[in-house]
Amino acid sequence: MPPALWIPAGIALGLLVLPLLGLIIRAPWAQLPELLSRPTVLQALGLSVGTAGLTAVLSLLLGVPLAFVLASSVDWPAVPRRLMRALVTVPLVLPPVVGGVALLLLLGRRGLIGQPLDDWFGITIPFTTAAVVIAQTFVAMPFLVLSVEGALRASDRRFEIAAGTLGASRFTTFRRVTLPLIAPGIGAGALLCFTRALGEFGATITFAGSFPGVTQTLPIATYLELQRDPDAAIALSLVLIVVSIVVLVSLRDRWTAGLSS
Amino acid sequence: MNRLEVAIRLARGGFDLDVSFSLAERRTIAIVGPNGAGKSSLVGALAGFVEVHEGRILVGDRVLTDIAAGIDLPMDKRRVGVVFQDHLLFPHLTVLQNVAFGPRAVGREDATAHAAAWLDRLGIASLAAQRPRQLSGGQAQRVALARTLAAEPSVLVLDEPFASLDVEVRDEVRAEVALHLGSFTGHTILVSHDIDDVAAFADEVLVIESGRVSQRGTLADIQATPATAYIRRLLSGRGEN
Repeated sequence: MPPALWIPAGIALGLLVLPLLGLIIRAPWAQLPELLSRPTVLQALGLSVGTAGLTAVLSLLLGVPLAFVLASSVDWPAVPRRLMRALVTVPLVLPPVVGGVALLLLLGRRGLIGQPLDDWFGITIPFTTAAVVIAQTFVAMPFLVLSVEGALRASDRRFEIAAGTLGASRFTTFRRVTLPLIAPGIGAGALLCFTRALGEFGATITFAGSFPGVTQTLPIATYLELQRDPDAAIALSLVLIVVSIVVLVSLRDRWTAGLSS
Repeated sequence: MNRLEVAIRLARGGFDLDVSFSLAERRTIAIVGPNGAGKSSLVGALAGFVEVHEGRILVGDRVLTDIAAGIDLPMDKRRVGVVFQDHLLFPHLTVLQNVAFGPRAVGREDATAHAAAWLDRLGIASLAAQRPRQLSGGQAQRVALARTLAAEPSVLVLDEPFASLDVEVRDEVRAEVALHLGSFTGHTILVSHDIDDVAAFADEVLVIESGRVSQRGTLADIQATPATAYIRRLLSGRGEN
């Protein structure tokens, strides 16, 4: 490696680390307990943790089966196989605000599905807590799907054959062999999904708005507080940083635990 | 008399296997052949994880596969147990749980006690609480045998069971396995390309080359009149490894 690379590498590292450092230095540590115990902050925190948790649960219920289908698509013809993979990956690269607009067009009052839902059942989804969970799932579920699919592809499918020859039905094999073997991947995927949902902003504010206590999650509250009360915004940011670090550390432990057991 | 009757044909990726043989109860047949001859396809066909395209597999009057009649039992209904070369012990279960897996899968209430009895019989009761990754190669192979026998198969397939063991422990494990097979009342199929395995276990030998049977008989028959160059090499201990 030429020594000259140290210069851009150092700038890159600075770009990644200095903003966080600045935030920590400027944080109003003395007022922190007061700031974090404000009803608006607690409300946003509770809403965020609750909706991100629901997003993780919904993603587990729907995303794990999708990961199985995706993993089995290696045997499909090239066109549907690539299409399938592209469809799952799109939300990862799509600007979240576009996802929010798309969700509005589908589930909004005049949307493809939203209009019949409203006309026939009187159900409106946009600007509700359910909309927050849907927007977060749209953005965050692919992380879980790809994580579980990776674990599936890395696991030795011959364990399933061994289980079958021992008399285990396909369901028993799935429950007692396949799932436990990919459990670390599922756990890591669910955590990634939770974290991504916790930080979701663009799709949520577009599709769900920012009603305090209903759809105003932590990132949205942080953004709004920045104009009204910068110290509160910094406090909220610190909360999000702490959650991210906790998840990062526990992810590492999960991975090593999964590999060594 | 419950004979194992096999007469099958299958095609798999440009390769075809066409093999027939039958075997009496309590007898062991060694399937030998060079790499790619079709030994693993035959194991897969017997155990039900490789698709058969023509023919039948019967154990006595129990039909495992009869393509003409549209019968091909799934793996879990065939009672064909396999001891795999790399043992495939479930890494997330203890030794005892591994051995209890088969009995539990078929709903036996005494699965754990049954498994413990098998560990005892094979002299590995002290390993019960260990995880597979803590075992030596020889121990893992003994556990794998216990796990397969605990599921009470009517056909036992030993797929290159000693190939992954160090030479020093191979003879010891081989002798032990031979001892335990003495009380096994089903049919035993030993897949190998090691003439020492064949000599230790087999009542008869089936040689497969390029998907066809090239010779069948007792080891003595084959030694007297080896039919192909491969068999001569095998007998001289210079078979492929």
